[in-house]
Amino acid sequence: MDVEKLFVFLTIGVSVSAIYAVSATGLVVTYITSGVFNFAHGAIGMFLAFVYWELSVNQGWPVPLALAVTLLVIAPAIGVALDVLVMRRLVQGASLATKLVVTLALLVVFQGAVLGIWGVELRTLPAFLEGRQYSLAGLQITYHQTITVLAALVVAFGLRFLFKRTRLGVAMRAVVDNPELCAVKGLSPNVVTAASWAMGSSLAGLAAILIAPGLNLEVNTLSLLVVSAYAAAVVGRLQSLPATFVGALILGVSGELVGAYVPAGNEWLANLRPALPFVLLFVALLVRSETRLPEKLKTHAEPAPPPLRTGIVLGGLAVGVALTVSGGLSPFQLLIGSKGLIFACIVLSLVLLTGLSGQVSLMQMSFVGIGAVLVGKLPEAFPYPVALAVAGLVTGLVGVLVALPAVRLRGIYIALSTLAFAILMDKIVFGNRDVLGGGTTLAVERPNVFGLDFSSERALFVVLAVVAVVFANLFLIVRRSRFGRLLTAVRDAPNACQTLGMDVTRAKLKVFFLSATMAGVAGAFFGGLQSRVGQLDFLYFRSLTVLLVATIFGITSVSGAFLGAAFFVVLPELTRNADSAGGQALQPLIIGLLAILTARRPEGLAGRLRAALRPALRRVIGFRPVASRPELPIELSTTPEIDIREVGTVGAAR
Amino acid sequence: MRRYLRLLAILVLPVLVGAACGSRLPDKTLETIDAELTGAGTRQAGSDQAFAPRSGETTEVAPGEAPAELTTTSTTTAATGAASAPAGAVATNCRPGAATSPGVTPGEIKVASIVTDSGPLPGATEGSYRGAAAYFAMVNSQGGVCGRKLTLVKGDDGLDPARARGEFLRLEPKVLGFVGSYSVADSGYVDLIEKSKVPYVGLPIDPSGRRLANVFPKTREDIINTGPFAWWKQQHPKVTKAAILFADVGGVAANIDGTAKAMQKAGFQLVEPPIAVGVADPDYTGQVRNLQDKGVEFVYLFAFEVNMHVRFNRNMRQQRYEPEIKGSNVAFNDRFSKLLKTDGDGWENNLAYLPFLDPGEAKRSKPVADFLAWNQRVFPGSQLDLFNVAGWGRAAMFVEALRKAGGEVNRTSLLQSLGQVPVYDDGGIGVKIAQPSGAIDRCFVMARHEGGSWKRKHPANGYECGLGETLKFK
Repeated sequence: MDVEKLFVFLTIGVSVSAIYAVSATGLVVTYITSGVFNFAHGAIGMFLAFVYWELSVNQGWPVPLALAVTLLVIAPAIGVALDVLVMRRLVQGASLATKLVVTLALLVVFQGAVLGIWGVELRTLPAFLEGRQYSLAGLQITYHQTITVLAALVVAFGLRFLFKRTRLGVAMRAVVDNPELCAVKGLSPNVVTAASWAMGSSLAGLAAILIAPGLNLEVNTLSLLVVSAYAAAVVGRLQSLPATFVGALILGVSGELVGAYVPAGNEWLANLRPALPFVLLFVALLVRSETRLPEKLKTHAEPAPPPLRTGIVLGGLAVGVALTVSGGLSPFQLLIGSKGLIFACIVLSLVLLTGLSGQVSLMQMSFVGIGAVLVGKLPEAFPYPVALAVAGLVTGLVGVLVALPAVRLRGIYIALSTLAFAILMDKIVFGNRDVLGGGTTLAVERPNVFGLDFSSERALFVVLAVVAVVFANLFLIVRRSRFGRLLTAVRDAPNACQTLGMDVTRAKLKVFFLSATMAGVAGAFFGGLQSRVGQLDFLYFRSLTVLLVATIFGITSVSGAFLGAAFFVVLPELTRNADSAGGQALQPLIIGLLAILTARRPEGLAGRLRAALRPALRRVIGFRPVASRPELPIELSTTPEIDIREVGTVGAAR
Repeated sequence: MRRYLRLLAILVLPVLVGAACGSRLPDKTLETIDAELTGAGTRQAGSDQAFAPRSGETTEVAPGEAPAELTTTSTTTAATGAASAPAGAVATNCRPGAATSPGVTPGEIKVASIVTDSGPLPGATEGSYRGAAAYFAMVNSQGGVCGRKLTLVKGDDGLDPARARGEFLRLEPKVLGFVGSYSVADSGYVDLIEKSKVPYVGLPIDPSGRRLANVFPKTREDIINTGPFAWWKQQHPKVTKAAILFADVGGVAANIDGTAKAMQKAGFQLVEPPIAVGVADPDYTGQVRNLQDKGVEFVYLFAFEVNMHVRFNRNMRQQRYEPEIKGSNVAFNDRFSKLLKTDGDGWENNLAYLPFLDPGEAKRSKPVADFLAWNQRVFPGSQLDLFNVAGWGRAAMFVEALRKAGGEVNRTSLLQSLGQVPVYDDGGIGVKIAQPSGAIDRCFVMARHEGGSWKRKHPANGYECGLGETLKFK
């Protein structure tokens, strides 16, 4: 083995690790101090990097001044504003899905804000001590890279000291577990959480400013680089900063070693390097021991499902309307309608999984992609209904595979495992020419049943209307069933369910299977609608959009799914004529802000609409839903657990 | 004295005011230009855009100079610019006819261009729309075609095939055809191009689209000109070890084989198969060290977008890795120069078109002068790169076919005319591609980044056509 080469790549790996460490550290700090896994962490940092560019480059401020203002004034102000305006109102005591959706929404809001203020032009940020470097064993290392490594070390150990040795740090950790107790001890929980968010923002900004000279100021790359650092954070169990640093080291070094020693030429192996952070994330989630997180739960009012007969009648009416109006629609309008119907099916699969059972999935579009690719790969000799069944079943089995680690995990870890899987699918499967038949896209046939060709836009639209109605009624059947009630119980009180001897694991596996099957079938139709599918169709961030839109309109209802789908396909048309930079900012801003505003109401905008229409519905069809229960702030939590090892000895010193 | 001054004012002021007013463009023209220039000079998807000429203006060349005739040597071919719109030329037997087709009225012909302008790769291929729009502006300034103004509508795929499909379905019923489309997500509508038989004068990214009968110009995917690599070998005879790095995104990997084989045919030895490089990798030092350790003297970057190229260049400089040859095929754009300045010096770009970013090229070539002038006029300050060239060239082919089709143009006659265009040459800016065979000229230009900008390196004028061969690699 060439020792010198190994040393070189280890050194490069350490340099890359510092980038991951700085990203992950801020993430862990926010989680430790607020209980929120902040998906917007990278986007906040990205925004602050642009602010720093504006001050230091565009306005010509001295670097130290620009840095100080950005990290010590603007960043904390943003953090405090987020805490006061968003987190306190929306997130405290909320479900995981709410917290996750709010932070995802913030991600798109910050991206939209940057696009709106600075546009899409690519910018560079000068490095610290630009151009100065030194040689280490034949490798040229810049002063900026050294500063990055040092900064990562200082941050990691500095924060460890803060949390273990200072009153503020202990208070920051305690306030997550028991804010009332903190208040009794004379610490204002609000001040402490505000300080936590201020610190988190500053760390996000620091990470982005250190990283940006290497990556350049580009919205998506900077926002989403932190996703690669999730593995490091999970290795640290979202608690231990030194362990997070170790995780970052593993991530950075392994990536460089893979690049150095894995031979080029094989597409599967070539895709391994960019996928490595997510392989590590998945493995880290599989092997981690579950820490018992206290669960603060709220039950919430759900719309009572209509009787089966009502569902069938309404569904039949809907199909009749689709058949009637489709004759007068243009191909473009039919396409929009078809997209909306497929999207409604996809959202329904997510409503089943996340809305009904509380399992947050960030990979729904990956299931869609699996279904589409399967139908495309099957020989044409397969009758379409058989291909559809195969697509659904195989995707369902994949869902079970994904669920296997999920059954051991709770809360954010399920979401992270689905995210890791989605990104792995992007990089290893959907972009693989072998999977796509040697090209960049794969042809997928349209429905063809018993010799009836449904390839025209109108025919497909009507077929999709039928499929959507079937999906809706299936969902309602599940909701009304005993299994549906079990899922709701698992969502609201998993510990109680286990105590009562219910098979929670089996329920989770079953719901993942059902949800993935639905998404796979929807994927088959999606592929047919597109005629060709490829990597671009199933990128992981499209799954984030599905979740956001589902939340805005109601993650618990059929009507929410359909309204969300309609919004999703209509929004681009509404913002079409906006100014170039503004238009690109407008869509994410609208989605993000709506998601924030509706996050605490699982019934979403659809629920509000139902409430408004209830009197009319009652008069017209005698519809009498169960009177909505007020939100019951029942906290079905286990005994609050504080890991004694993590509590500092500050109090004991008194 | 006071009376004299008053008289002077009375005489001079009207002259000044008259000159100012006389040089003022008509309000309608100003409104159009203003509307187009707000938002960094681009219009949004779906908005119609008519490029009314600025009255009285003609294509500008350097004041007092006519474009120099290109010299012809035994190894170069003059770039004649024959395919660019001849100044003031309008087919004399071509009068506007009736509205015989979608997108055609007595006064206007409307076409569309679908590009990737928003989404994860904002502005990625929007240059193609701008190039086509600039060409149409030039043609409109000369009276349009058969008395009809050309209008270009922009569609934006948002890097989403589903959205791309929607854009196609939305625009197709309203337009005569598609011109200058360059959609990364066109897999979403490539089947519709075939079904609709709409004239599509663009560049399908999805390979299945390139073989369609109604897509122009015809290109071949199985041949490559080895000339640039032969030139590099000629200039650096002792260099043998080479490596190709390509952006690991989309369908780039599918297009790398030809370059690899051309490089080997020219006598270079690839130290390993082409290397995929992640778009979002935070650091490329590993790849750079790998190349250094293997003694690679010729690095070729394939389809590196400018952000990647800037970062890779930075890592190379940091490691003091200066291979004898630094080649790439996409870096030829002004953003590269703006971001890197002299740090980008030494990169060479093999071009299948004239090096329009060389400040002297406008004097050497009227088509380049037109290209630069009209792009600057319609979209001041916007980036110029190969996408602009692609759009400009396809617009030129469209206009040539439109003139042939005459006043009573419809999709069928347009398709026939497109099929009769003998040569495609990017509106006079690019090498000739025979139509419909797709056979390429064995011609290229080498540009080199020097002093913070791109300059023509070889040949001194026109193209180099005497080196290498047309290699069939599939």
